[in-house]
Amino acid sequence: MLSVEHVTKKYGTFTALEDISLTFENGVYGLLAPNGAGKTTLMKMLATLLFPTSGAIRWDGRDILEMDENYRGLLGYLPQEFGYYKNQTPRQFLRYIAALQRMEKKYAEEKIDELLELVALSGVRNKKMRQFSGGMIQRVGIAQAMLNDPKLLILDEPTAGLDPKERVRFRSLIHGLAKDRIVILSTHIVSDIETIASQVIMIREHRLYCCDSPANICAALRGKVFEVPAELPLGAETFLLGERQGGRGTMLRVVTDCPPAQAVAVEPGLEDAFLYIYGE
Amino acid sequence: MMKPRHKNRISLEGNGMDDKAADIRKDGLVIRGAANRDLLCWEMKKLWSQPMILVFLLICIVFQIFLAADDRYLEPGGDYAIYVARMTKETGRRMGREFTEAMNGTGRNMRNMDAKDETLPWEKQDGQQIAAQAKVAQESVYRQQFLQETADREDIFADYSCMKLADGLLRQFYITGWPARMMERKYEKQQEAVDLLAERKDSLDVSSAGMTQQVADALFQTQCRMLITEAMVLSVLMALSVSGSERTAHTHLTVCVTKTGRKIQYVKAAAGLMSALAAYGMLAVSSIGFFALIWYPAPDWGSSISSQFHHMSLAGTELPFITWKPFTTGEYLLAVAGMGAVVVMLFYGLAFCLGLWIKSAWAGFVLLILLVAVNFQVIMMAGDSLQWGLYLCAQWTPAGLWWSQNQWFTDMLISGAVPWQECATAALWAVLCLILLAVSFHHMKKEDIN
Repeated sequence: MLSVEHVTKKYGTFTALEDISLTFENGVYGLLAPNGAGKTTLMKMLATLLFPTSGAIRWDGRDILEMDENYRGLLGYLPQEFGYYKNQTPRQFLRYIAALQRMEKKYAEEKIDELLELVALSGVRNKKMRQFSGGMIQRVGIAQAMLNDPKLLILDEPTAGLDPKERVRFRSLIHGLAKDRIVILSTHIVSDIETIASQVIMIREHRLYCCDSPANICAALRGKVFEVPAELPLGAETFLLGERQGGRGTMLRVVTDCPPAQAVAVEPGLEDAFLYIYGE
Repeated sequence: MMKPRHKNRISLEGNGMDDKAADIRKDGLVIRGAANRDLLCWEMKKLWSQPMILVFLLICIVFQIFLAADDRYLEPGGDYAIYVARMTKETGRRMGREFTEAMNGTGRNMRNMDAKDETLPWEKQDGQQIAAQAKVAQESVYRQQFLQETADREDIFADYSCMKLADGLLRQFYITGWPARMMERKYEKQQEAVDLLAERKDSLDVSSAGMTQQVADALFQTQCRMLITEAMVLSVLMALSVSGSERTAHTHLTVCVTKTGRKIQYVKAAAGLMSALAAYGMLAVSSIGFFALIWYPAPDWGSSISSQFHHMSLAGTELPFITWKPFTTGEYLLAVAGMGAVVVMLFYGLAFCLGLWIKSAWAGFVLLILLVAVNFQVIMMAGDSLQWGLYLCAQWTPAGLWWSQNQWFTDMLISGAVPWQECATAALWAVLCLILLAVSFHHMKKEDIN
């Protein structure tokens, strides 16, 4: 179990995160917030790259900073900007990471073959990574994060820059990996976590806003989300979520307690909740 | 006690073992040692796979070869030095009565010398009679020159007064106060070294006779200075490259989160240092090896470096080359090579520290150049303005150590305040470097990585 206890992170007078407390057990957690909210800061603190200004992060009751390499041995991390050595092949890169993880060579080779198969890169295992697409590089990234069979997998914006097909593939991959480990996935793309996260963590104004299932988060808006024709005037208490092109022209998606006559109630989705929470 | 599922993964669930106990498990230590060796190989491979390093090394080796060839073949007197080296095998290297008798003996046998197969292997190919006659004529000229240069030589250290030199230096350069007192003490100590040289009669070693200074300059001023400078620059490049390579490739986040984590910098430091010393070794062997090959059988490696034919210069005055302990030419070369390795290590260490703090290879390189430039500026300004205290203090730096390479293990004239100053400077900076490295590593372990 991973617990974040009253963690604050400040850079001088700027507070990146304030008094965050969370508990993680096996499953997928989606960290959802707009850019600059503090997602990467929290991920990096979980990965021991940043040190909390106050508070503690514990693994099974033990401070992760005191655990040092024993904690990092349980951890797999895919950073937001995953770097790689252009002149290396995926196999060479993973061998290097395996050496950094202090894995036995024979075991590492088996694991590398297995992971390259899993991320569908077996056919290009000996090709230099300078020739890879963004999606292929991200798959190498997930493979290296899984190399030491981690109990805790931290993925920071893993689908950024991927095309829709790659994003779907990535989601399937993550779903398969989450069976017996904690997976924390940060994103500002709602669809990435809507279907795979059992818990969604939202950070607002550098503080924890909520940590709940997608269903419960959406339930807060049930009965308040409507679609109305664009030509209708909107009341003062109406919050605009977005618009779409319908069969009868442009339809506005709004949150309101007092819907106009022609409004059609719709089931709120996680994206609606995201836009509403961060739009207020 | 629970066994971990795999010996690379330490189970912390209910096995009653804390981290420390897990770390000192026998197979844990073996794994750690083997893993570090593996990582060392990886880091060296990553460093040497950079074209910049190999290209620079190759250019340096070629440059050293050209320098050696230039001194040997394009400057006059090279053949005479080789003649002297061959002669001293028959006459001995110590001037005096026996030497003179041996010279007379060689004179009687000289007409037979060209009948003996004394020519060097590549000269055999030129079997023309005219060439042979020209060779004999040339050797006759060389012999006369050799006789003139070695006639009536006396031991210059027999009545040598270091304090007289000290007085002269202090007056000529207006050195007063504590710098003057330190220099006087230094030259008092030097008298002991001179007395030992006098006892051994080292100044009577022929070495390369009139070509001694030229050969010594070619070896120590040119070859060794350039070799150490090149290795120093290469070590700085390696240090900055190795300490910042992960940031350059944007892999620093991935690497720091692994089990090895930030401690990879220890492995990188070791890998870079080994590579820098290996590069220095390759440069040294290739350049000195080539030098020895083309000058063979000169220089006389067994003759004293303090031969009266070898001197230091200061303001147009030639002064004997007096080392704190007697060295042969070969021993002095080894000592210079050893100190050169220390200079390479010092610059490597400082550059590695800079790399850890500044996190930019180019900025680190520029800053190091700037520091060296400021050092030299301080030395020049202090000397010009007769600020001898500041002048002497400014010599106690790695840059000062490198610059004084041609005077290592001597009194260093007005640049030296104490005996064996180069060793003291090297020791001081080795300690400072270790402290700086320790502070840098500690800072690296505690800093946020973005």
